[in-house]
Amino acid sequence: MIRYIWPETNPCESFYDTLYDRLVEQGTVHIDDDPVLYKGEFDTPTGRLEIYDEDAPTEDGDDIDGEVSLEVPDPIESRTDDDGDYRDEYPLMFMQKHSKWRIHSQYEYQPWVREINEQPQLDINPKTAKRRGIEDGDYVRVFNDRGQMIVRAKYNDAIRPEIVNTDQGWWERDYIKGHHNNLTHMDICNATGNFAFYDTAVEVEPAPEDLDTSKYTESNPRGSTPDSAGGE
Amino acid sequence: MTNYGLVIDQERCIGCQTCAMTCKQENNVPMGQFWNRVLTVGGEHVDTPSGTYPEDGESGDLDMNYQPTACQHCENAPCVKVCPVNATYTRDDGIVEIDYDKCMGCRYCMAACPYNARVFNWDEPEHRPEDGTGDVAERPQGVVEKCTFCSHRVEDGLDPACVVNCPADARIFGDLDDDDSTVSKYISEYNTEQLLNEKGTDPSTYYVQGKMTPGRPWTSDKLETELGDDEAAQATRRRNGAPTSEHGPTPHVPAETAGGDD
Ligand code: SF4
Ligand code: SF4
Repeated sequence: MIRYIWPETNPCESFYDTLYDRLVEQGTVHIDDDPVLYKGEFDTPTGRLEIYDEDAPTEDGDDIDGEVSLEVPDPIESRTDDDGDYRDEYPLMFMQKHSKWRIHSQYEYQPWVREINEQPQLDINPKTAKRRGIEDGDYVRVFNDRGQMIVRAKYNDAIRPEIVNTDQGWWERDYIKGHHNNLTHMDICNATGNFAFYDTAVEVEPAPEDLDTSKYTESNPRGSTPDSAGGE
Repeated sequence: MTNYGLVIDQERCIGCQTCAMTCKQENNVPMGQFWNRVLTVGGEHVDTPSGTYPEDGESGDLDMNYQPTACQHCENAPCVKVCPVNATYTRDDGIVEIDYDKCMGCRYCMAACPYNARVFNWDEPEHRPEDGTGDVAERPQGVVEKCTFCSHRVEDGLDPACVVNCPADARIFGDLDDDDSTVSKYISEYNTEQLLNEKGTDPSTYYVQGKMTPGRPWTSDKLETELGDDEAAQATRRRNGAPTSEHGPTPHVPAETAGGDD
């Protein structure tokens, strides 16, 4: 197993070989360990882990004024845009959330997981989709000035109407066309000093009709597509 | 008598699909087939809720739950009754099992099972990795297969793989005939439902709904940090699927059958 995990080309191959041989030779051992690592209080007002913080630093967007807001902010790029119509052209905010199916792009190829999570999809609120003539399960083109990707729309009422999402970590070979990172940018977010991948403006439209989607035509018994189990 | 059963705490379940995956691995389940499926109760797809997103001060009605579903090991199993060659039978310990040598692939049992728990090998089974996985021999083309409560593990004194590997401790296995077993205690102390109870199948799988149980390793409402050393050691052993002694909470698999190695 371990041999399988470390690729042949790993520069430290001999090191892992030694580890592997020791493991085979000596076997495993069960350690009665205390699994609770942190028992004290955190340095927060409640002493607990706090998921939501009223005083967290925020972006200085026009519509935010330094206050925490539940409005979807103006995307960074429309704030720096010369004529200010970027947001009109690309009214949806595109996130690429982490999913339970992978660790970043690792395990993307796992055949068992892919039986359930078969292909990249766009979580889209049914209202947003219907306004654009998109049915549940249709292939859609997601695009902005930088690029595009073609994925399958998944109606999801848990996502707010101004936002769409494709889970991060898919490889280029998994897409019918394009890739989610063709859409993202490298602008830096003031609040974190890091890339603001979720702050990406896009528009969505039905995919061209002559699209070749044959790589995913085999009927999948499970998965998150409309013809799969998971209702009831 | 021993009568094995499973409690699944739907309030604890996080829909991670680990039970579905570990089942495939442990039981050498072919590609395209699942013995153990985690369905989503709510919207149309896996991981979507019912209701609509609250806008403009509306109150929200979004609602989503997970429904892990495998063979329910019915006490009054319709699949056993319809099998013309007695390939599907109920063992003395309550586990409903298939003799794959006897199964002739008529699939009457699939029609009879209200839980869609059974799958049929239409084609030559394919595995990943190709040589197969786990501790169970592959089943041939042309037979029906399904969850066995990991009878090969249970016989070694180990809990089923889905139970050991559930990271939310939402799955609890044990002897329904023993009033002191965790499953019996949870069934008497918490609100549990059997799926499609009206069909008269009397499943040995019980779903906790409403108040959350303390989960698999503990029968008390103490936190892990509040457990005494003995109890904590027991809990760790149980978490790892190892048999426990007669001290502390009652073992899930009776101690006399214990002796396996994980
Ligand atoms: S492994 Fe546990 S938490 Fe995960 S889906 Fe199965 S029952 Fe739910
Ligand atoms: S769930 Fe289906 S396969 Fe399992 S015992 Fe009941 S009827 Fe038979």
